[in-house]
Amino acid sequence: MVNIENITFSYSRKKKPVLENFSLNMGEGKVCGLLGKNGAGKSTLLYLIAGLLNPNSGKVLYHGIDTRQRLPQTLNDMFIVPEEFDLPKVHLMDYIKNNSVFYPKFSLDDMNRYLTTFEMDSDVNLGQLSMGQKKKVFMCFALATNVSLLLMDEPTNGLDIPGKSQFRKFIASGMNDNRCIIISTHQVRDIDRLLDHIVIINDNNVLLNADTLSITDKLRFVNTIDSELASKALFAQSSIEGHSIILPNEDAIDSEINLETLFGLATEHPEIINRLFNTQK
Amino acid sequence: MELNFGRLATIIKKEFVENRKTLLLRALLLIGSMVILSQIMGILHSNVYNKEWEILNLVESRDPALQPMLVIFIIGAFFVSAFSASFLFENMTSKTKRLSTLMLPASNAEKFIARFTIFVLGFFVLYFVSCAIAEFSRYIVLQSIYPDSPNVHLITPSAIIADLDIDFTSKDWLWAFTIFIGAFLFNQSLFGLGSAVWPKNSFIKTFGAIWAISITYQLLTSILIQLFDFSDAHPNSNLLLWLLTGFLYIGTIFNWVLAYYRFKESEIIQRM
Repeated sequence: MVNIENITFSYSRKKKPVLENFSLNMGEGKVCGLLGKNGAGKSTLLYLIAGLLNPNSGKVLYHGIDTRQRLPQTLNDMFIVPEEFDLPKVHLMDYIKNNSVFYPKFSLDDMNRYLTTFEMDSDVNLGQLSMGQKKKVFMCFALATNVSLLLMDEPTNGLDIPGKSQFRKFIASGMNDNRCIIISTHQVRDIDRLLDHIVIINDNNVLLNADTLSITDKLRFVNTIDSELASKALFAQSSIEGHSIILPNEDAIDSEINLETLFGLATEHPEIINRLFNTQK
Repeated sequence: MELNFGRLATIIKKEFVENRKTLLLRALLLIGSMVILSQIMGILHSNVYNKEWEILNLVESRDPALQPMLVIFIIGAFFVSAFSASFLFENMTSKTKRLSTLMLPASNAEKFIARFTIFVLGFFVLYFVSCAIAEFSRYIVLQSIYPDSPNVHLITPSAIIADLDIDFTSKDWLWAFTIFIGAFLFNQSLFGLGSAVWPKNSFIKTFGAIWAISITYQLLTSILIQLFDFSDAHPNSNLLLWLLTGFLYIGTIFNWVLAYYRFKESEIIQRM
């Protein structure tokens, strides 16, 4: 669905490239988490996928079409929810009327359903909403367009506490086999149970590019107070409750992924991840 | 270059609906300014409407404010068209605005033409409407103040043509008209291009750039004149007119094409 082929990108000639010879493929039917440190190039990567930035070399193909061309048939099948965005100061129904026509698969029923998930009313003026409410409305519109590729940059930033759990429900209800949702975030606890696929990038490398099933097949995530067990772990992170550790899953025991610990393992011991998942640079 | 007229109409409608307050405010500002200027013209010629008519029994077949009004309308057209064209890419002034514009599912040509239609073509309609409203307001106010004056006339296009006493078949007039229109379009296109290069504070920056280029050109010309003796040069005036006309019209097209390509290559983050 999305093929990133040997992309090199830098913000200026003098600066080190944010991404260099970077390649990645993403398929349909997955909620993909894009994780990385500050400045790793997560937002840049999303902009490159959407065709909003021009790579110095390489290309991004979406269904075989170079996204940099920004063709209507590509743009009407993808949507980006950035961290910051502008909404016109008009009534929500006017906004829907004027913008939905550009998206052939837009569904008003879905829009209303998603608004209900976020406990939002459709009879509102966008100029009178708080930033968090605007984000909810914008995300509802994004999902209601029924585009095949939805890119979200820090989607839970600015959401209130109920909003974060509503967000998980919202994404789960809008997901289908033909759609790919890429979520870039630091707020890993907001999305950890949503993800089907995890991509961790750091220093220009894809440290991990694997689906959650294969991760839990090979790794076991455990919270323990047993320091001896922690010392045998592939990676351990101390917390007030003890240790969050990752063990090799030799006994095929199911566990829930702890994204923070997984991120720690990937960034501090990339060789282990590479050995287990055969990640290519 | 993909162009779908249905989608183009939808973009124009979206632009109008989502920016209606700003556009309406600007339209009202233009109409208001033109009305004030026309009223000032009426006040400045008040002696002809009342006193001189009574003392000298002066009867004019055309309104005495016709020529000053015409000058104002022409200068205003140059100024306001440049101002309007400099709003062409105001939807690219910030990262969030650029994202909304660039991600809209339409071709670059459609997005460009939609803005061009509103801020360049739409300007003409608005400007003519503003001039008509300004002139009607001047006429109505003067009629109510000087109901008996025979010198208060409505300035119509036919009155302007009659006053200018133009021979439409004359070659000189045709040249003058062609160059005038060319200069107007070239001026407007410069500010359109300026908007593509500097979306923020475009009018001031473009004006500054034109001023700097003009000063440089004048300096270079004066240096060349001092260095070389041009006293024996007898330029072909007809050739010069053709060159000037060609420069203005080809320059206009060049500026708009360049503005389009500048927009087409835009990115969400302006890189160095």
